[in-house]
Amino acid sequence: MDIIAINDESFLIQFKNEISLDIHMKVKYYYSFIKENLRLKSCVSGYNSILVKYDILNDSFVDIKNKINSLDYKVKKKETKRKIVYIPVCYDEEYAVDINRVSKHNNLDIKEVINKHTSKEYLVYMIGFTPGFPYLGGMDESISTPRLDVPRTKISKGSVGIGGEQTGIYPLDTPGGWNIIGKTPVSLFDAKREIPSLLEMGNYIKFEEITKEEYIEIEKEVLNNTYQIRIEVK
Amino acid sequence: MSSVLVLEPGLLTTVQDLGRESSQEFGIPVSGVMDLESMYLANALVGKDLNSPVLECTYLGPSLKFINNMSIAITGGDLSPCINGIQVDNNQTITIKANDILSFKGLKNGLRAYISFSDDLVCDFIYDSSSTYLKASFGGYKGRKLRKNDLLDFSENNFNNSYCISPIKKDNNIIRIMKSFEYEAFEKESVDKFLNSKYKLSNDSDRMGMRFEGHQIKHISSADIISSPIVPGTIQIPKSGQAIIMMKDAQTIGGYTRFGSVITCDLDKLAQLKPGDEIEFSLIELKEAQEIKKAWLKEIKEKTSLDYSKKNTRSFRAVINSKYYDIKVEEI
Repeated sequence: MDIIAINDESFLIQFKNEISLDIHMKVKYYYSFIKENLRLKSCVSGYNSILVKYDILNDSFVDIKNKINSLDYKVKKKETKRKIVYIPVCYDEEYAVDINRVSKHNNLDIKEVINKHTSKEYLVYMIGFTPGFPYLGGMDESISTPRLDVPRTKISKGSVGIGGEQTGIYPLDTPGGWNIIGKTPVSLFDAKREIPSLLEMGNYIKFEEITKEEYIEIEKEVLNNTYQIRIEVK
Repeated sequence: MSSVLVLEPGLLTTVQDLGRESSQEFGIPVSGVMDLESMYLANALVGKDLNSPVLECTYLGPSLKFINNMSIAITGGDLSPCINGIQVDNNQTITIKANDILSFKGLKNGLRAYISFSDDLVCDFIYDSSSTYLKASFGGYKGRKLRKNDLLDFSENNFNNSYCISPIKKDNNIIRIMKSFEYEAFEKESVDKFLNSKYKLSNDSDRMGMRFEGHQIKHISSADIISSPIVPGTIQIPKSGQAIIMMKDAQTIGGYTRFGSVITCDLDKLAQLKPGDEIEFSLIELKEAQEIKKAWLKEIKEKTSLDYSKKNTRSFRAVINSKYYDIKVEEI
């Protein structure tokens, strides 16, 4: 674990360079400790890092560093209950502008890419990037594809993408560098809700392939507030 | 109640304050003003809490009609403000009379001007801030930039004083940065060139990120990292080698290798750059960065510690050499 100053009022706690359940548990542990005990300006978690902002006039970086370093982390027992949220996705070419790039890069045909993408349950490691955006772990390595060399200035809301070893869904129109392989009509972010994000750290999601007709149907239901998202607790 | 009618909205005029620190875990960016010093000075000039919402005006300023009397101040870039067509200066309290029209004749200096009001603006306060987050359409004035015929409402304060504050002197073309631990991902020769070249701000720049044209930084291998939180000022370098500095509306998490981060004081300088402007980067360490910040905070405190005690004054407005001046006569 390293604690590194980023600028005059922030630092990053950097754990081992991997995406794994073990590191996720460690991040959750340190994140909870900092939020509950240190009362600093802000605290944001990543897959394997935590960014903390402090008040330069009231907090000493050295003191905070020492407090965090003195924590005794013991590996926790793995949680047994899973909340799985099912996300419907249309993988038709019209919504999947980069699916060819992913299939070519990995020497698979498009159908295989879709099968591999929909066959797993993904852990939501964190919410970030834009409001409601879930960072997911557990993607099949055989569909990993590097991010675009030049990120796009606009990717439309609901797009499902692959960036390196990661997969995720864009809840809003934003710039981004991920390979777009499908689209969901479901809304991942709503500013009118007290908790604006549909998903949270620790949930699991599963992608379900739908047809274009089903996409249009669900899109209507979401607009009318009648769509019921399927959730399972295992 | 007092009101202001938007006659012309300007290019991008939004309500902003300090921004949102506590909702980044939902992926909501900090937002807030791009030029913090200018917001602080503008609010001090009208007797407001330094973190009160202001209008951030970009490039082309708005045209506003004041329905009631109040005081305002304009700070930051010089967009050539005028009251009823007559030139007025930045960095001072301006006494506004009912039916006055504030307009801007065009960009002279900088890029963003800030308008503060002595009365309290009624706006959407969401997740601890009045700042407008444009991408998700919430906060500030209906979650969007101002449009023609919008009506801004205020609750009245009784403010009657006048001040001038001169902004902190700074070298706008040197941007000081602290290097990231991912520094080793870049070719050394390329890094040296980065620190010794001029960079031009590209047109592809906004409140989310500022792109710079110049020497492209070469990676030793991958440009991707495991996604990790960022702060405004973080410099991301995708494979193309073009530096992107993440700003106030930037995504909370980034996935490209980072060169480093701009020190917080120098974000104000970036806020006043327009496409085509040139800068150079200068590498400094944490200790110096913190000393700079502490000195900046001290200077802001000194400049904004004004005497707000009510005085027995009468105000007049005079046009001298084609410029408006507020004149306050105090009985002693």
